[in-house]
Amino acid sequence: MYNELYTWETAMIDDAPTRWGRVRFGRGTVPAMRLAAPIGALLAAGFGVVAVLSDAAGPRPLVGGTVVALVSFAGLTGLVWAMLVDRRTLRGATDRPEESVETVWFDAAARGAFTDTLIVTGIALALLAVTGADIPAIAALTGTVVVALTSVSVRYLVARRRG
Amino acid sequence: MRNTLPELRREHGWSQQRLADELGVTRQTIISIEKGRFDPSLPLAFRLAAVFGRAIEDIFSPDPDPAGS
Repeated sequence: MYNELYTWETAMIDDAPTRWGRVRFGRGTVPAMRLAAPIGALLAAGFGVVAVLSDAAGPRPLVGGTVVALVSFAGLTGLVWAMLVDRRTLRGATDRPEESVETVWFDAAARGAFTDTLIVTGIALALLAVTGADIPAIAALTGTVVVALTSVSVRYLVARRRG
Repeated sequence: MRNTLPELRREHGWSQQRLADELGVTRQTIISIEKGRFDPSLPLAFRLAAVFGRAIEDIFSPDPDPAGS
């Protein structure tokens, strides 16, 4: 009886919303950062090793690899956290984000951005075909991503302002 | 859709944030519903009705037909 009560109380405490949220494992939970930080560190170390092995770490591979790992650590940890965290355990998070007007704004912005991206890349492609200009693939793909992100951001802000 | 949400909310003495917390949505969602700019999903409309102890049709009604037909 005591054990049952203790387990129930512990579960209630563990399910309390926190700033960084929790990851659910079956019936239990683990603080999300306790998982995300080590996994992010492992991935960052992997990035550093890849940088060294691919000669992208510069003339001093150990220093270069360490810098790559350190720089990518925060971003990778954030990415892992976003993938693992249970939103319902975040303090201040809404229970049903899919029913919020913000989701409607974002969906509309994403739909509009898809059209914008198609139009802009189509026009850019036509210009490149006519002029015979040659641009690197990295620049072209970066431009496409920037157009898409800018379009989503602007459309979302406009929808938000309109209410 | 038109709705009587602001009146019901005031009757209960609830703020928009309080109602948003009850429903698990954002305050902006409540503002948008009250202004008639955002039609809630059916599950959300049912929860709203349950929170105020009313039927959905007591809270929401269709906009009058502008053509008058």
